[in-house]
Amino acid sequence: MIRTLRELWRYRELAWILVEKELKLRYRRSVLGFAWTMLNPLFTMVILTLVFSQAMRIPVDKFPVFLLSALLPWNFFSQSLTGGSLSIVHNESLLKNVYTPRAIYPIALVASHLVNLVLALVPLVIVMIWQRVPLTWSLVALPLCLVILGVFTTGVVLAFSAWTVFFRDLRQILEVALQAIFYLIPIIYPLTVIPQKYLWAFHWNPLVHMIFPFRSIFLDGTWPNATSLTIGAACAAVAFLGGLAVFRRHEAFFLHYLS
Amino acid sequence: MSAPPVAVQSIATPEVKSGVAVAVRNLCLEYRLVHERQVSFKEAVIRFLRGSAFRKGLVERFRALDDLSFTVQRGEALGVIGHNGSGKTSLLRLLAGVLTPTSGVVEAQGRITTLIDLGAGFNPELSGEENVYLCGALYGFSRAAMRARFDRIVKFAELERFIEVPVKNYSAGMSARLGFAIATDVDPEVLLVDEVLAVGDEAFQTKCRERMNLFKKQGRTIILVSHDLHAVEAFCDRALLLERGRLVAEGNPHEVIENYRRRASAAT
Repeated sequence: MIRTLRELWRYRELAWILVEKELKLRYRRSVLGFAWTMLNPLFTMVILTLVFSQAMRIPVDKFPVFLLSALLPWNFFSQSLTGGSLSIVHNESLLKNVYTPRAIYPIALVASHLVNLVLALVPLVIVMIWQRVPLTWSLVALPLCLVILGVFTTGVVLAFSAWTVFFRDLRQILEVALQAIFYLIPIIYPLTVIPQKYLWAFHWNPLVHMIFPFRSIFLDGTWPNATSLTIGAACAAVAFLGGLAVFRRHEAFFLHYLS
Repeated sequence: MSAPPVAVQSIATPEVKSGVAVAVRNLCLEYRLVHERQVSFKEAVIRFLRGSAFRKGLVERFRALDDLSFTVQRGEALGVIGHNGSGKTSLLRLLAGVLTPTSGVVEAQGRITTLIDLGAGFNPELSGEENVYLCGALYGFSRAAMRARFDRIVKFAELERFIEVPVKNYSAGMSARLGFAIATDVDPEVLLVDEVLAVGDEAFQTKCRERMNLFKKQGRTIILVSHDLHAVEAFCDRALLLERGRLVAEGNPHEVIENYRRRASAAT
């Protein structure tokens, strides 16, 4: 395990180049290019705000900020997972021909989405200014929240990228599951609308503890709940070590199932 | 395409120090073959319901390499020949470290660089230039190190005019040239070559041959896997003959090739 981590560290330059490649390719040949990273969440915000805040009248103040502060970290998680589950399958020709630590491909993919998440925070700040939500010192906690969510996502993606090699349907299953999970996290609705007897379901969802801190920072302007951070960090550590263990158990057989 | 010392267990055994570049001991590779290759959900469920007997039948093991042992001296050019499916490419991939042996060890001294499937590391959407840096990183080279090599690589590949064009617009010859130029510019100590010397036009082939000969003169180790018996005979100091994953002959290339031809005609 330590050896794997050390080897990954030695290949960090490759990881950066792979991240750069992902980012370049995502918007290659599009006129607005990188701007899409920021425009896309804005459009989503407009649509969801119209539907949920105006039409369905979900009782939340500053709905655009409420929504974006949780939607952006969620998008990071769900896009990393759908893209990352195929990161081994898609890099078949490299895996066949070049020796690299194989885990570098899913890790680089998650890292590229993390860069996207940070960029997408820019329009969030613009929306905050428009909505007159002040930025406070709680912003200092942001890197910690990013690390917790990023490490957790990396772990999950590592496991799924390995399993998808043997069982390709997993990608479709994941897409459906992610749709369901989206509604299990209070992203478009506040926790206050949930009946008391179902609240436990949210407390047991690690993603809630990783996404809510973003809302504390940007919407409430308060330091994230320490319990959430602790639970989030613990889950991230378990997910990462577990995901890496799954990956290592299967990686020797990837090429037997690819090609 | 460079296997770092950690992956291919390496260094410090006395044998390696005494001029052995690559030592292969009792190397076995068993493929897990899945009949339908990709098991779909429905099949998986059906097989599960039918019981474990069927599930066991799902994965078949296939022995691609069987107890291979040989050494390659530093500076030696070794040819590996054999029919299709004899295990040549599997052997090369084990040496490169991209496949993990079922049992046995590969010990290598120095940077192993593969020329398997030239240009496989290329991303078609990226330009030639971006691909040089990507490939360099795959070989374990930093951006700065590749910048120093960049002009030389482009010149050798004769792609000065097209280096900013996406690789998907390259002809097969052009990308093969770029692949060869990169792989042979990154100071391979052990170079693994799979059937690729016949890339590009006559003039480029001559350049490739010259560079390979230069490598040989510089005392680098080369392992060449090929159907081109003439190339093996002309270029290699020694040859191995594989047959169904076993090492059946080893020695002077001329004799090994004769052996191979005898076996081939005996089989028909």
